[in-house]
Amino acid sequence: MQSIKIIMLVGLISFAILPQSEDKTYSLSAEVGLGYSRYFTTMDYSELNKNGFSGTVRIMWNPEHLLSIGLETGYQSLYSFDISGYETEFGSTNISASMYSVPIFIVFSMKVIPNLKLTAGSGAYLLYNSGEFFGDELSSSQISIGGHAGISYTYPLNNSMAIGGELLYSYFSKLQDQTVALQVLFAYDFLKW
Amino acid sequence: MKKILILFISLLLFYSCDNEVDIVTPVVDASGFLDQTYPLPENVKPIMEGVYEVTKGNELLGDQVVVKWNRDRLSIFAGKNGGYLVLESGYLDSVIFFMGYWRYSTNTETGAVTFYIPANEGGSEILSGDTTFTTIKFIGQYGNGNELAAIPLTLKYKRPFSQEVLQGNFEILAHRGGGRNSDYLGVSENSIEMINISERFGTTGIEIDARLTRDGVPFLYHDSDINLRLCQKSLIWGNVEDFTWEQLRTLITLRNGEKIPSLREALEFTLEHTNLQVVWLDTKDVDVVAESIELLTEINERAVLMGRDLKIYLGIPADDIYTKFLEQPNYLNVPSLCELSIDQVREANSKIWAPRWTQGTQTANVQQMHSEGRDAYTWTLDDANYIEQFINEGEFDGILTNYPTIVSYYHYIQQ
Repeated sequence: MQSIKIIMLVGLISFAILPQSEDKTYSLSAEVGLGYSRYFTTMDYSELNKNGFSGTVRIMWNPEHLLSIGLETGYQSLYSFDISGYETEFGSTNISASMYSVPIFIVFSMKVIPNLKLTAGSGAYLLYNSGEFFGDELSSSQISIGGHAGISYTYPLNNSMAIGGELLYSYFSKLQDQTVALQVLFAYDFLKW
Repeated sequence: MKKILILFISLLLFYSCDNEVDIVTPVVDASGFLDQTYPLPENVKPIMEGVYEVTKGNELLGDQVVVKWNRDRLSIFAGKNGGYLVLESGYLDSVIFFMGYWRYSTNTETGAVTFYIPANEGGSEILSGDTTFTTIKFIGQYGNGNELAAIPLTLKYKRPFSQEVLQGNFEILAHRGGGRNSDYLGVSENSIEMINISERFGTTGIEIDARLTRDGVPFLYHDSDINLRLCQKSLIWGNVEDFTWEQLRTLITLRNGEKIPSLREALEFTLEHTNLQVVWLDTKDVDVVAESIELLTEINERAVLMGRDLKIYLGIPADDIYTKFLEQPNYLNVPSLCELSIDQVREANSKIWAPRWTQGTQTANVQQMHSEGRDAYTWTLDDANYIEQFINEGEFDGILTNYPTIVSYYHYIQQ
């Protein structure tokens, strides 16, 4: 874990000093990712379903530099848990619980080679918890700081649109847990000047 | 752009912080030696209490220590780094044996300790109940970390506790039931297990934190949310007061593996299984005030019926709690502890005034409280120099601290 963070940091600093692009076109682009995510935790419930859906939406400003900056939000399911006949000191009950996150991030991305980008973001995760236990609803939310890092490859369809894939690692500080998501990525330059 | 980059890098570095600390657990009595000894009779235990000179092992404990029994353990409090020893005991023939561990309160250093009191160095006299003994000498060894105890450590009886100490009514109050999770005591703050061991640190009273579940059950918990400082990873996260008692009790495990206790469980345990004299019930939310009053009234009445010297006080830490308290029927007769102004103490008829320690010893105000038949405690005092100053120069009736071992040391060495 520690080494991944150090690699991210060194990588970011290294890329920031790469030469600038000769392309003087500025653009605003929308990037939408949809895919599968896997939750990694030390919680030891064998019934925990760690597979889920991941979706991200980014608005990126692409200046003449190789480094782009933008905002991201989205949705990522972390886990779900359903078990019947769970024995407690209050008797037997059915438990269902799930959690998903909504990121509100500042995101940086860097073209390493044409079509291949590294992405890193940080900000707040809104964490939503819901479920049912002894017939009582479980419902709460909280904020966690967090971050993610990813690598994406996009193939240009035309001057404004591209399609590709992204591998995204996310870290949730409050939970001290991670997810890894594999997404299909659509990119669209909706404004150029 | 540069500022954003710096912010981003700062966040990355923040995530890299890792506050996990590995505490070595010393091996104590691995051979089960004490199981082969006889338990010390209760009536002889106070004979060995007092102030002792450290004749060997000063590098560990300083020049003098306090020896004090606390329920079933012998505790020794030192002036160096808030050092303390917790020892189990037994005797064979006329020799008294002790095994346990030492620990510095202010850091994580710890190790094993063994002692014995030879028959001709006080053992025989203590066991015969002779209070006119000529000497008591603890002869032993200590180790560091997981090492075997092999470094010489010897204590020699110096004097008994002063009459001021023996006849006074000074309360040593431990924060969060005995200590915080950040003190790495091996059990979780605000748990039954913490209350169970708190007297080993010299405490005569505890402060605990109460909140109310969504379905109206008061329980012990400090923070407003479920977090990894207090809990292990769980299926539920968020504001603790959003959950029912059944949900919290079943799905939350405290940091060191304990179940979250209800306030009733904590108070009944304190009443029935400890010798603690004071509970400072810190109300963390206005919603828990009425239920807490009902419960503390019941437990206080049971303590009187049992002939038990225990008093539970409702803490009033803030104006919103104060306003809620004044709305309660018969609030003038509820034992309370008010952290606010002296005028508010009087209006609430609080039995105890509890100002923050940073306001100084406030001797005139404390004396004023005494003249009105009230006590005064100060909180949360952790610095050894200020603890010494407040004990020697102040007139407070109690100190709330995260380091009760330090308060114990300076309290019991008073001449």
